[in-house]
Amino acid sequence: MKTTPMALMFDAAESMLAEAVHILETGHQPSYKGLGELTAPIYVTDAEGMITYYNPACVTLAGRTPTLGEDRWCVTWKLYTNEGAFLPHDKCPMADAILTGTAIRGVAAVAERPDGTRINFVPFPTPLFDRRGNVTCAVNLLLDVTVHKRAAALRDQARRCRRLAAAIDDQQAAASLSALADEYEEQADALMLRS
Amino acid sequence: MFGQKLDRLFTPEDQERGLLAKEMHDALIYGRGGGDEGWRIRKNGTRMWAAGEMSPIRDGEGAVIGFTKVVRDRTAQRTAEQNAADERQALEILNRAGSALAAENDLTRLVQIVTDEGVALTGAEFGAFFYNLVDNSGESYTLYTLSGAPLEAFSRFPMPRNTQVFAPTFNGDGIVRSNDITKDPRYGHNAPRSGMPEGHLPVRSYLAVPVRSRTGEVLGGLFFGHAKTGVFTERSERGLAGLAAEAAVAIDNVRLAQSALRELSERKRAEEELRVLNATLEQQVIERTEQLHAKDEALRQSQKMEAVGQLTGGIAHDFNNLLQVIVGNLEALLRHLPADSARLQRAATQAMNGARRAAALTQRLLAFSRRQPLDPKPVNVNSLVQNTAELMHRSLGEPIAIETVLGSGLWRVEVDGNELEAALLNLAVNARDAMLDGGKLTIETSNAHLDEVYAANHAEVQAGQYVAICISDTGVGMPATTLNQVFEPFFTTKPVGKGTGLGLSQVYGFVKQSGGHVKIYSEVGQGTTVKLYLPRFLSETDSEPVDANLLPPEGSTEETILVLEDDDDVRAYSVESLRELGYRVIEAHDGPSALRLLERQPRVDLLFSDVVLPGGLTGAQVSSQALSIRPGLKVLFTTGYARNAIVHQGRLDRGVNLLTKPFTLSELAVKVRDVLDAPTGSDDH
Repeated sequence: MKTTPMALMFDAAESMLAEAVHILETGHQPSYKGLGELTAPIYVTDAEGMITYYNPACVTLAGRTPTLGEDRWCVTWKLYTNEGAFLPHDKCPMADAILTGTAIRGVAAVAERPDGTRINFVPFPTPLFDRRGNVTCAVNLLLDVTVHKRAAALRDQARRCRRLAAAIDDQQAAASLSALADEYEEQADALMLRS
Repeated sequence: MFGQKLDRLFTPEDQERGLLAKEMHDALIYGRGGGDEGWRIRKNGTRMWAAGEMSPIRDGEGAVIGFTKVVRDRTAQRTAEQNAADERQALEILNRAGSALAAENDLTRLVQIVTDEGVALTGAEFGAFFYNLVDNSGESYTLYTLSGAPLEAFSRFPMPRNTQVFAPTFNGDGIVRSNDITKDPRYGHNAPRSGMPEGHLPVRSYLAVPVRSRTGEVLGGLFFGHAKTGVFTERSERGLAGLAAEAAVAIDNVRLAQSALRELSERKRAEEELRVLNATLEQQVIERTEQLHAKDEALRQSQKMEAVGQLTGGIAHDFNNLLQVIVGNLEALLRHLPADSARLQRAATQAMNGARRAAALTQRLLAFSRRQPLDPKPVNVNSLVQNTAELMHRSLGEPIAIETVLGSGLWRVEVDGNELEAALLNLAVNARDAMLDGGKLTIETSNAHLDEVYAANHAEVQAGQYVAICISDTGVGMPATTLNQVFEPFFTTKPVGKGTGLGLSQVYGFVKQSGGHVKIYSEVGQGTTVKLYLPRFLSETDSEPVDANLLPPEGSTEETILVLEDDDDVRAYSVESLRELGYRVIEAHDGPSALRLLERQPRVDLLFSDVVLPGGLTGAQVSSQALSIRPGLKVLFTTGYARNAIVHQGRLDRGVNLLTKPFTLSELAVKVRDVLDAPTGSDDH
């Protein structure tokens, strides 16, 4: 199987999450020693979805400091679907995971910070169970894919320009389209390089 | 009568009038009394019509000693005179009727004259004329006219049926005269009734005469009645027979005149049609010939394009395979050339570039020949045009201004979006070349319907619904000779090296392969418009997909929306979403508090209200009260019910703005913006 940078990133997120689950299953509340050292934004809720712990990376990602005992389901300020529709917190993937008792994978969403900036992220909501199979708590990791998403969009644009450059019957316009494509690709590369 | 008083000669009435005394007085004073004719009493008591004179008898000295009274019986004479007078009157009536009828050509007036004169002739109380007519479709029907009775006297009754009493008249068998029809053996056999219906004018004396045409056809029947018995005599019967004959002649004449008139006007109309046809025949022939020529020309052109397409397609197809071999081997060469052989590497790279350009060219040839592989998908033309316009702006340069005019409610099409984009760019490049000193390029979209007439006049066009994309420039335009060739491959008016002449061929081939139609309009000095028609795409649900790339339209912070919603969660979501979109939002949980808020707030632009609300007021009621507080307020309703359910049950008027739950942010954004931007009054209730 071909491994792309994206796939590698997802693998890293999964192993970090596994580590977090391990800490939760063996460690002691409320500090969850060790979770804070993980570089990805990770937070923990109780069986009702109330936030009981978040690591410093969450504050950076969400652009706000969650309030324990008040924030529920997610540490972010506002959520939207990828299509731009408002997504209430109690309908977010973490709520879904806790309410259905299943880990959710393969979804993406958009979070908005109080300063108005938006980020694309992929959540890894994972419920934990007691011996009888009841949800005891849940842990979530938020993987920031904003840069990747933007880079992918730029590369799409570049491809579109190259395709059109080949399709149109004018050298001058084809040349400007090719230049445009180069520009988009450079931007995408620069974005990825910065991250 | 000897020994009796002279008084007995006079009738009691004359005695009362003192006729005898007057005669005597006149005889005494003037020497002669009486002299008038009148009824007198005979010896046997019967009456006689008599003329009498009285003279005094004087003695020698002139004293009156008695009177002589001479009475002459004139009864027979008088009866003869009376009969003659009656006959004369009857003749006068018949004559009068005859000349009136001869002068009359209006059937309604004619039958009225006949009926009136019939009443005068017979001394009936009332009369009726039932007459038959034939309408334009040949159906016969019966009308009637009355005399001596108002129309209402008969309007309640059905038309007389062919009963034993009426049959002889309606069948034309002969006259029926009865001194008392209620005693007639034929009377009363008209079940379910027995005789005249209740409320009918009382008829005892009865006289009915058929009116027959010269051809024997029964035209109708004349009916007369009187409440007294024995009114109609043989003379009435004879008179009426005469009148019926006159009526028949008159009706025949009117019918004849009418049919002659009809015939004449029909002939006139036919002649007029013929005249118009003759006058325009030449023109019509010219038009039809031109149509045929145009169609022939279009067909010939499309056959030519088809033939050229097959040829180029065949070449391109084979050439593509050759290119595949060349490109593949060049790739292998590039991979395996030693890194230090820079010159060989450069040569191979240049060969590869050439091969790629050849491949692009081949692709355009395939496009023209309608043989390129397409990937049709439902496409929102407006957003595609919008995105392409941005790209055009960047690739055409500053001197060309680009404007898009996007039609609302545009249908979707199912085409290869990439090829459509390429087609639009190719057209834009052509437009740019026509506007060397700069100009304006306008792209418009709209729904269009190509009708049967259009389809008949253009080769390969199916009538139906299309989405039209029109690309217009303000350039130099083209002469007709060029127009006929622009779509042909390698046709170009541009200098060598400035394009291969395959741009419009790609457009043509793509549109045709997509089941569409392309039309080009141009005049020298007037610019050029190219219209692409792409068939409307009808999916099973035909719901508009929410376009992920489209940013929801936003509001301005001055625009204030009052959200009225009883469900706290839904209200919170709506309020947040609307604030999110940039509006100022105030909220209420029921009608009365919404109205209070409305009175206090300096500015509210839109009421966004649930249809079903607690607190005694429905959304519609709140809205109408809100409009009286603040005329011009825009209203948008929301409901979880289906739109039809709400409107059909009368909870909302048709045509109100309604957003059904659940709604996404972008749906809300679009709808709110639409309602706010609609001219005031368009959402009147």
